[in-house]
Amino acid sequence: MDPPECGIIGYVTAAPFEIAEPLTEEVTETDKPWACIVWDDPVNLMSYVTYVFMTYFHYSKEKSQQLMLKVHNEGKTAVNSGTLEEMERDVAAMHSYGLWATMERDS
Amino acid sequence: MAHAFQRVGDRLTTQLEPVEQMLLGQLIDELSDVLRRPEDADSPAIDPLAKELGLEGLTGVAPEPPDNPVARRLLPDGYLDDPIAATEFRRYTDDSLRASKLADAEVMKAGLEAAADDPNGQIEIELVEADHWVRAMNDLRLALGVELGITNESQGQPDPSQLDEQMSGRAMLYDFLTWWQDGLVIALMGE
Repeated sequence: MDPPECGIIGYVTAAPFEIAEPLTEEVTETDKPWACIVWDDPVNLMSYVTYVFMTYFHYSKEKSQQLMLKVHNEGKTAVNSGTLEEMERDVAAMHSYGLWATMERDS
Repeated sequence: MAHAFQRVGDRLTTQLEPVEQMLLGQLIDELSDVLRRPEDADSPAIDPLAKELGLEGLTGVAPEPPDNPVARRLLPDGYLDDPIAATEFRRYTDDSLRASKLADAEVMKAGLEAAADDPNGQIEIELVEADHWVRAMNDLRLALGVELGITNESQGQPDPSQLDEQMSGRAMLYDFLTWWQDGLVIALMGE
């Protein structure tokens, strides 16, 4: 069977992230004082965000999809927590994947 | 017509028309230009030894957040409400983040050049290269998204009838890359 085709004017079936206001503060454990927060973004595809969580964090597909949907629906979510150094590494990695991520302290 | 990515064992294959290869190649060149740090004659030179040891972040002044809105989206702050921490974060990550994105762009560019050399415009990607490709495609889409004004507030893409010729071309490339990247991600996740 021939592979699906698409011209430069592609029909887009993928759903990009859409509007959502940042809403919630994430709770982290006290021994993991920092969190890596991923923010909703209208360009990053839902499939791609799931792929990033699976590839970088080695989360299961199910967990990755849940986190992706949380970002999408709530505007942001904590995707990991740990020490300052660990979370800065994660935030930098998310930036390398083009996800919008920031550090957040568990206050 | 471009072909969606297909997974065959440890490889992914796709095809591109010459015009598609050319347009995407130009886009990658533009992206790479944005990602290269502008030469600043006033900034102190980085100590070559520090650079060799990967310690260049420890010397010199911290890089400023970029003025260019595309670069600002690709190289964002790591801290929201703490400018000092954001500056420190940028000091240690800016070089490696730019290098990582430039490397992604180079891998994709090499793939496009391979397609240009193939009579069918065929591209074969090893699985180990695929991460570079999805990231490069995403950076291209982020850059186009900034140009097209696709923000959380804009609720999707601009009305095509409101775009001039150049921006219509950008919007088409954005749609194409969206379709192409989604296909690659799905092929990688084995769906």
